Parts: sequence; structure tokens; C-alpha cells
Amino acid sequence: MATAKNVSPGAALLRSSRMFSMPAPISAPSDLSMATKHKSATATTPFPTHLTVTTPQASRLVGDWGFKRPFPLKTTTKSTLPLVRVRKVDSIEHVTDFRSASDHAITLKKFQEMNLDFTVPQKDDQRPPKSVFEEDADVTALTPEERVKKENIRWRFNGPWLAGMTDGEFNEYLSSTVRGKRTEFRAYLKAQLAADMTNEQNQQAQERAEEAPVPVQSSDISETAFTEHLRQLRQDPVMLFQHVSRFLDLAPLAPEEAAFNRLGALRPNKRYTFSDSPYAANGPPITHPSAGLSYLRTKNYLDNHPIYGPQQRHPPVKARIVTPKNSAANYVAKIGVAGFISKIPEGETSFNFKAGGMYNKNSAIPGLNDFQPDVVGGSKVYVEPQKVTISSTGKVVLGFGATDPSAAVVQKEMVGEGVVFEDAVKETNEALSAQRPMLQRPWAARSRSIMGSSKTYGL
Amino acid sequence: MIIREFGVRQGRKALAASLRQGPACLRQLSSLSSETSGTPVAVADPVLQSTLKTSPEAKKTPSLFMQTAKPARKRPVAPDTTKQDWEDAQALRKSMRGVGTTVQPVYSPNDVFRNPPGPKDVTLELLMASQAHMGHHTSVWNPANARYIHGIRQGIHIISLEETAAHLRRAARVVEEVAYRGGLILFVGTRPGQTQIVTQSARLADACHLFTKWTPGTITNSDKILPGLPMKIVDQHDNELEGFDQHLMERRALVPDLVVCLNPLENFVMLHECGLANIPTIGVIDTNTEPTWVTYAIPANDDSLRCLAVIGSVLGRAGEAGNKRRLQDAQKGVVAWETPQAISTWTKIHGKRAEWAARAAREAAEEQAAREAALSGEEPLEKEGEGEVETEGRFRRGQNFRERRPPRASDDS
Repeated sequence: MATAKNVSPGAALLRSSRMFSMPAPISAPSDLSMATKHKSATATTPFPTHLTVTTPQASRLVGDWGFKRPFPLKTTTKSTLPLVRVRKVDSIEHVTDFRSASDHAITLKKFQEMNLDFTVPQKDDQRPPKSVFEEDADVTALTPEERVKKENIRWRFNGPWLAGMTDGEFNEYLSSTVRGKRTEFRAYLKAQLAADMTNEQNQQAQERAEEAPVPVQSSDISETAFTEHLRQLRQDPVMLFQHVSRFLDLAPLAPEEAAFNRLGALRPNKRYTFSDSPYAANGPPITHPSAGLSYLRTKNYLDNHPIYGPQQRHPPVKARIVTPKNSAANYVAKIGVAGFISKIPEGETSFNFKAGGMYNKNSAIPGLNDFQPDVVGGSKVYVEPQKVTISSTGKVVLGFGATDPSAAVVQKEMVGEGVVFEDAVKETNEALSAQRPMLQRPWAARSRSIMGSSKTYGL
Repeated sequence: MIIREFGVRQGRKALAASLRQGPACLRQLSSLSSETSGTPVAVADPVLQSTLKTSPEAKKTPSLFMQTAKPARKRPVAPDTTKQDWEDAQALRKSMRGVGTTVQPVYSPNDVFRNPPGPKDVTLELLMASQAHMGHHTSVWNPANARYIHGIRQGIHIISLEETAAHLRRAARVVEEVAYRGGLILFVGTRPGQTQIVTQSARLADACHLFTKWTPGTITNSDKILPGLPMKIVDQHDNELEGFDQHLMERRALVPDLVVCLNPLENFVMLHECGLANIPTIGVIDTNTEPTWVTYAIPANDDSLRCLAVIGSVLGRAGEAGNKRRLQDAQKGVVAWETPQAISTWTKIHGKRAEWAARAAREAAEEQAAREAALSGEEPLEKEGEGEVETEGRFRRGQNFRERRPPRASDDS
């Protein structure tokens, strides 16, 4: 309450109240394809924009959610968990505008049950993914020197990602932000040139084993020399873009390799350092690369089973086959893992089963290639979630693979869908009793027929 | 122990069938007694033993069930330690009473009805917790409420908690004084969900309540709308007085002396009628309500039932305190209110009328006596007869006086 020192007691109370601490809604995800595609207006958005509010059970039954008026019981008492997002506390129509927030809140709960760590996006899947909370990837507060030094691992930039801008946005950016910075940019280039010249001087002096000369200042550079430098820069677009992007703090770009090779052929004695930022290909994420969904650093831990002991794999997750494959319409199957629609893994897996495939040792997953109307609740399949990243638009990108069959059996038994251990015990006992029938305990183990109990007086 | 083992060895079946079943099978004992009489039987309970011995005329038919059933209990009968266990548990409880945490009371929405807060309990925290500060959308505000508004948050006006608390305390004071002066208070809340609130307030303050539609004209046209409704006359101790039937028949309908309205927006007609009849009103004024509709405004959220329950119970408690103070003072002989004009006028006229009637009767009696005396010529017995008549007349007069002209009288519904 440090901020509420010089205000009235009521104002201090209000400042510490729950309603005042509700964050303003963040902007909704912009999806340009919405303009051309028919999508449901009530579909779950890729990320939540409003705070989720809950209430104790006793208050929920009288509709008290802490807002201006009681919420209607008909709509708020049907769900298992009380979860609501309030879009307007009061409106002109004298109603509180609220909706259920079960979609995002329960998705978060399901996601956290998978114990996945968010990883830095990778171009190739060769190396094991690295958590975004590792020392070399978790950069938040940076000094100006570090900003340049860590430009390949940073995820937040002041400037835009040029490759993701439309033409109009780019022109707007030029006219509103860039154009007024000409003088500043010249000064920046001059300072850079002075630093380069100082470096060169020092290097030469070092080679000749002399004292380091006086460093070159920006003011020492003549206009003609600077103009000459500018002319050279214009001939070297890669260098120029490096200056421009550092000056405007632009997000890194990943040009095609062919373009670089052409440039290299043009200037054979010039060596370029290319950006290998993980965010160069698709742009930096709009949130922290973990999006605050999980703060785990690794999933390399051992699960223990109460009977079978330590497990090689984490328990697999039951995924929903949202849409089966439709070859005629050229749709791939959609699979929802913990509430996130995910891409089917590539390669020779049971997810890509083709009848008559030569090397296919996997069997087809029921319901994946054909819709099965008789399955209650829709077809499900056990999958193994492998890695998860946040895309540049803030969506959760979840990668999964086919699970180990034995891990699936163990998990099914854990959730009560199968009986493996009990069957095995019964089988063993039956085998034993077949060998030694006299081993049976006589009448203590036998189920006794009770003719009457103390309650019925034997009648 | 030895006997018991002997029994097990010798006649397991008989023994088991008879007594190991416990006292619940007492009914079967009689049928078994003849068979088990020769067998040594272990009986833990002396009552059972006596039952066994004192059943010689039992039926001979053996119970099939008890013969074939397996014993239900394998273990021997343990000594009954229930009493000792209970005493030990009590002792342990006593010694551990001071150990452990104390359970804090938690919020329950029904608390405001189970334990209604009074004017002393009004705090800013209570008002904020009951959402009293949440006004309406900023675009529907009434600028007359600007002095109650603290600011804007989440698109709504925030009502200053200090203003709410101050106005609520003032309104509570008004209710208390009106109750102290024997006034008739009416609590009005006509929105759905406000029934429990207004009935509780009315019960606390010994007042009237309205949770359905206000019939327009109930005050200004009450002669047509409320004729012949029951009324009663009470004294300063709130005891009902007899003998005012004639007055009550010709009396006009009651009007409240104070109206508390929880939703002024829907009850403009009622508030207007109160204004015409010079009846003071107390109203919960939200940021979209016109504050001049009521005499005493309480700036607060009129949509939250939780807020209205707090306000209603505070005002109800205030009325309760006023009534209590009034009755206590009446015990001491202090009465802060006057008999209404209609009743005092009526009692005056009625008393006069009775006096005249008595005088006429006395004169008629005197005339009659004089005539009789003139006829008979006897004088001496006159005084005694006259005295009797006089006594009777005085007695009657006195009774009328006490009943119909009480020291203080008031009306109540």
C-alpha cells in the first residue's frame, strides 16, 4: 500500500480491491484469414484476452461474483467449475457482459498436467530442444551493449519484424517512425565509423608494436570521408541492413540461403555473419516465449508407478481426433492434445498409416482415417507430447509423437480403462491352484451363506 | 475360560448356535433351552444367564435357522469398556483443548440474515465487500450524483465509500428517531430478490414492508384503495386498547411516517405520493438515479442484493434500537410522542357525549325519585338510593374515561 499513502481511507481500500486489480484486456489475436474464412464467432481464441474470475460455491449459488449485480443463476450454475470472464462490468443496457471462461482455464489446467517445458523454436529437429528458461535463452533485462551482443537469442525487439509487415504497414512505419530519424541515423553511422576506424588504427598499431593512437571521435570525421563511407555502404546491402536494424532495433530476418550465396559470389573477400536467431524465420513471439503457461525447465525426470516402479516414458496423453483425414478434400486429420489442435507427426508412424505400405510395421489408428460414428464421445488416441513452443502470433504449437504401447497400457490401467495387473494376478493364482488344488483354504476363504443377520433376527 | 473351552470341544454346534450370536438373538433362546440345558454354556452376561434359567415352559420346536446357521462372531465376548472409553476420551479432550489452531469464521452469504449488521457495524470494508461502490456505466449517469462519485474504473462510476457510509449512518439515525417517536415505517423493495431483505428489515424495525408493485394512489387515494383494513389503537407500552371500535370504523387509512425505498428508480410514483403527503423518504441512490426524488439519499449500488441486504439490515437495526429506547423510556414515564389529532379529538367528543348521557340519566333518575317521593311522601331513604346510583354512574364514567381516553394512544397497523 505504498502508493495509497496520501489518499482517503476509502480510496486506499478501493485501490487494493480485487476489481481495481483486474488487468485491462489485451488485444485479441489478429487473424487476417478471418476475413475470407467462415469461422465461428464463439470459437476459442488462440489465447485468452480477459482475466478469468471465479467465486466460492456459496456465493455462486446466490449469483454473487463480486461485480455490480448478481449473475443469472441459470447460466452460471450449470458448469462444474465457476469460471467467468467479464467483458463489461456494466453497460448501457444495464447488464453485466460476461461469458464462461472454462475454455482457457481448463485448457491451462490440462496443459499443466502434461508437465511440458516450453522450448526455443528450432529450424531442424536434430538437436534436443532447449527450454526458454535456460540461461542462454532467457534474456529479459539488457544493457545497450548486450542488446547487440545477444541479438541472436533475444525475443523482444523495439522495432517490427519487416518480413511480417504488409505493404501498407511498412509504408506507414517508414513515414511515421523512420523518416524523422535521419539526423539521428547519420550521427549513429558516424559513431560507428569512428569506432571502426579506431579499431583499425589499434589493430595496425598492434601489428607494428606501437602505442595505441588517440581514438577517433565522430567530430574528427570530415564530411567528405563520411559521404564516401555512405557510398560504400550503399554498395553493401547486408552491412547497411545490419546498421539499420541495430539502429531501429528491428527483429532479425532470415533471408534465403540462395540470396546469400549470390552476395558471396559478388564479394568474394567479404565475410558476412548471418543471423541464426530462432525467431528470424517466423518473427519474434508477441509474448515471452513461455507465455506464462509453464515455468518448467525440463521434462527429463522419472515417473514412478506404484506397482511397476520407475517408468521409461512419461504417461501418455489421451488426444481427441477432432477431424479424421479426408483424402478427397485433401484435409489432414486434426488431433487435439490437451485442448490444442496439433499437427500429425511426420514419418513412418501409425498416424501416417497407408494400407499396403511396404515398410509399415504400425497398425492403423481407429478413427483417424475414417469417422467412427459408434464411438461414444468421439475417437481418442494415446499420444506422447514431446515439445511445445509459442508461435510468433502467440499460439501454442504442440508437437507429439506416437506413444509406446506398453506406456499406453500402463496409463490405461492407471485411469481405470484396463485391468492388466489384476488379470495377471488372477492368471497366476489359477495356474497355481491348478497345480496344487489342496492349497485352497477350506472354509474361511469360501464365501459363507448367512441365513439371517442380527438385524433380521434370523427371519 | 476353562468352561468355555470345554464347551467348544464338547458341543461346538450347540454352543455356537445358542449364545455367540449375542443379545440380538434373545428371542431364539427359549427354543434352544431344552437342548442346551445339559451342556455347559459360557455366558458373559448375567442377565442372559438369568433369562436362560427362567424359561422352563419354552416351546419344544427347534429353530431351523439357528440350528443350521454358522456363528456370526468368532471372537469371545470382550468386556464392555464403553463407559471407560468415553471417560478417557473426555479426559483427553479436556487436556488437549488448548492445543491446535482455532478455526476462523469464514464468509457466508447468509451471514447478513443470520446476524444482521447494525449502524455500529458500518465500515468502509463492509461496504466495499458488499459492492456498495459500484455505480453504473459512465454514460448513464445522473450528473446530480457527481458529489458522491469517486472516479471511473472498468467503465463504471465508483461511488465514494466515505459518502456511502456517512449517508447510511445519517439515514440510520433518521430511522431510529422516527421509531423512537412511534412513527410508522415502511420498507419498500420491489425488485426480484429483495423480498427477504425488506421483510427482514421490517421485522427488525417492527415496521411494514412492500415487495410487490406499489399500487398508485395508495397514499393520495387511500380512501378508495385501502378502506376497511384492520387497525388497532395501542398505548405507550404497545399494548392494544379496547373500546375504539367506533373510531376505527370511521377513521381514514393509515399513511406511513417514513418510507425506506431500496429501488427508487422503479418506485417514482410512490416517492412522488410521499412528497405530496409530506412523508419523508430514504432511498438508495445509484449513479443513474435522481437524488432529489428522496429526502435522505444513500448513494450506493442498488443492483447488488448483497449491498441492499447490508443497507436494509442497518436501517432495520436502527429502527429496532429506536423502538427499544421508546419502550424503555415509556417504562420510566417518558413519552416523546403525542396522541394523534384524530384520536384526541374523537376521545374528547366521545367523553363529552358520555358525560352528557350520564348527566341526563342522573337527572332523569332524580326526577323519577322526586316524583316517587311526591307520590309516597317518604323522605329519609332518598340519600342512600341516590348514593348507589351515583356510585354506579361514577364507576361507569371512570371506566369509559380510562379506556377511551388513555394517557397516550397511538395507532399501528
